[in-house]
Formats: sequence, structure tokens, C-alpha cells
Amino acid sequence: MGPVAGAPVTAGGAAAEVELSPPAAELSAWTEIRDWVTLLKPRVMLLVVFTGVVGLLVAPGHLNPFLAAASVLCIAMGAGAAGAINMWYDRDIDAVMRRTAGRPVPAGRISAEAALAFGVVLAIVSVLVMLLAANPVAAAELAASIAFYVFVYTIWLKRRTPQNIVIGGAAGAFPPLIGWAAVTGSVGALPALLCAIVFFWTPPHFWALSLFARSDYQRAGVPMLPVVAGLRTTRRHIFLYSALLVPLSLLPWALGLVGAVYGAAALLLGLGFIWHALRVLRDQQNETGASLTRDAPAKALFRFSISYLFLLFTAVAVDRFFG
Amino acid sequence: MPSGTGMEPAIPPETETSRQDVERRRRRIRNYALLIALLALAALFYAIAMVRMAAEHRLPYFD
Repeated sequence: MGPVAGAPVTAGGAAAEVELSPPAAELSAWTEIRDWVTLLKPRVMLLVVFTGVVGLLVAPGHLNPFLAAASVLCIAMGAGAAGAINMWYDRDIDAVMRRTAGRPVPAGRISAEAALAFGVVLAIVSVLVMLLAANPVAAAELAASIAFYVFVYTIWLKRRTPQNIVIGGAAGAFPPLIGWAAVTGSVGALPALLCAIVFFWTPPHFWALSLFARSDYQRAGVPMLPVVAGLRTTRRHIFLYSALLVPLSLLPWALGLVGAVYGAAALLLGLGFIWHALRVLRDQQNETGASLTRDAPAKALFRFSISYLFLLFTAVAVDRFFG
Repeated sequence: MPSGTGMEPAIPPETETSRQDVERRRRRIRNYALLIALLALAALFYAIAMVRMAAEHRLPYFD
């Protein structure tokens, strides 16, 4: 969100300031649409949709291409709905965090009520369309993932425990299950393992982010692990979860659910993940544990973890079709 | 600051007009977006119904 179009305009005399919306000249259909799209957390949605598509592609059976596309649209809408409701609920803490202060709700470009209504309507529509396009199992899983993200992660855990991201990560792990269920109408071993991989991938991914964004979380009073338990403990936790993630990622190959192409990719990517986690663990620190390298290893791990998930799921699909 | 005291900050008339103009344009954009979304949803429901009915009656050109 650009600061020019995004920042509220201030006017008024010395006695008081009145916040105004962007001037008419700056408001176009494009900027308005961009704000609504931002509510859907499109970058998160991209990863969610991708893992859902892979779940759908590798599932045995056949689904009409149009219905498959509609199912993917539902996964995207469901993820966006959860994101919009999250932005509605977290508008107070978003406003004090530098990383999120420019979001449409805290910046005053979209009202909190409108964001909530948008999210709720989108959630209902996504589950309903999934029910019509696919089956009740996929629709129920989609509803569960939205409810988990909103009620369990956003409302219950996020502000209460440093384990917020560990348990809350389950919400983001649902899409492979949903994609698979859209085709088969059931839950399989492979999507369950893919779900577990995303579940164990989430903590090191978010804790890496929270290492270099901890001042934001501290200011907002969000009990992320570096704020509550300290930086050294967070680095140890990142390494621990990374060490658990790698053997877990090899399990689909070890159980014969996927072939050697995936196995090789999972091993190489896993070694990369461990190496990045080790760099975070051994980052140069002062006596309080603060990084002396501006958290360069944590930033590198955060970036790598995104590529890791994309490449690992690509390997699942490639293995299924070409392995 | 309590209202009705005559101490409210003076908003220049052109700024007030600009704000109203922005609100009007925003409402118009949202109305059009809502119309498009509703039409798209209706088309999606129709298409899903057609594809599912065709599949049930085994019409191969829909599959």
C-alpha cells in the first residue's frame, strides 16, 4: 500500500486536526479495489491456494475442470474471508504496528463494520459454493479452517499465548485436505501428511518474522515468542521445529505415497531449511540475545521458508505426474 | 472537544466538498463492485448447476 494513496490526509488549524479521506483526485476504482483486495491478505492467500491446488491435483479420481476451478476459487475466498475478519478484529493492534498500520482498516480507508461484513459474507459464500461445486466434506473442512483461523487463532490464542502460532498454524494447514476432499470426498494419508508439513512449517516461518519484527509485536502487546520467552529461546525453538519438519517432510516418500523425485527434493530443501535455521541459531548476538547482524539470518530463513513450501508442494505435483 | 460550543475546528468549505465528493465516488464504486459480484455469483451458481446436471445425465461435452 503506497503511502501517498494510503495515508490519511490531515487538515485543520492549530487547535485540532481533522482526519480526512484521500482527496477525490486520488480515489479511483483501482485504489478502492486495491484496498478491498488487501483485506483478503493476497500473499497469504497465494500460498494457501497453491497448497490447496496441489491437494486437488494429486488426489485420485476425476473432478470436472470447471468444478475444480470453482473449488479453488472457494479456497481462495475462504482464505480471504478469514484474512478480512482477522483484519477487522486486529484493527487495534494493527494500528500500532509499523508493518500493519497502513492496512485499510487501521488507516481509515475501510470501516471496521464493512471489513467484518465483507469477511462474513465471503466466508458464507465460499462454503456454500464449495458445497455445490464439490461435496459436503470439502465444504465442512473449508468452514472448519475459516472458523479455526478466526475463533481459535485470531480471537482466542493470538493475544494470550506465545504458542499462538503453533496451534493457530493448523488453520493454514487445511488447504491440501480441502483440495483432496473436493475430488475424493474423503480424507487421505497423503493430504494429512501435507497438512502436518504445513503445520510444522508455520512456527519457524512466523518466529523468523517475529525475530526481526519483535518491536512491533512488543508495542502491540502481542505475546509472540521473542517478546515473552526471549530471543535465544526463540532461536532454539526455530531450530527444534525445523529439525522436526525435515524428517516429517520425508515421511510421504518413506511410506511410498510419493516417489523418488519428491524424496530427493524434500531432502535437499530440508537440508537448506536446517542450514538456515542453524544460521539463525548461531547468529552473532549481544548479551541479551539481540542480533548484531540486523537479524540477517532470520530474514533469510523467512524468505527461504516461503520458497521451501512452494518448491516442496511443486515437487509433490511433479512427482505425481512425472515421477 | 465538546460539540455545540462554537470551538470546533473550522474545515474549509472546499475541503468539506472534497470529502463529500470522495464519499460519493467511493459509494458509487462500491455499488458497481457489488453489482458485478452479485452477477458473477449468479452466473457461477448457474454454471455449477448446469455442469452438475450434465454430469448426472452423462452429457460428455460438459465433462
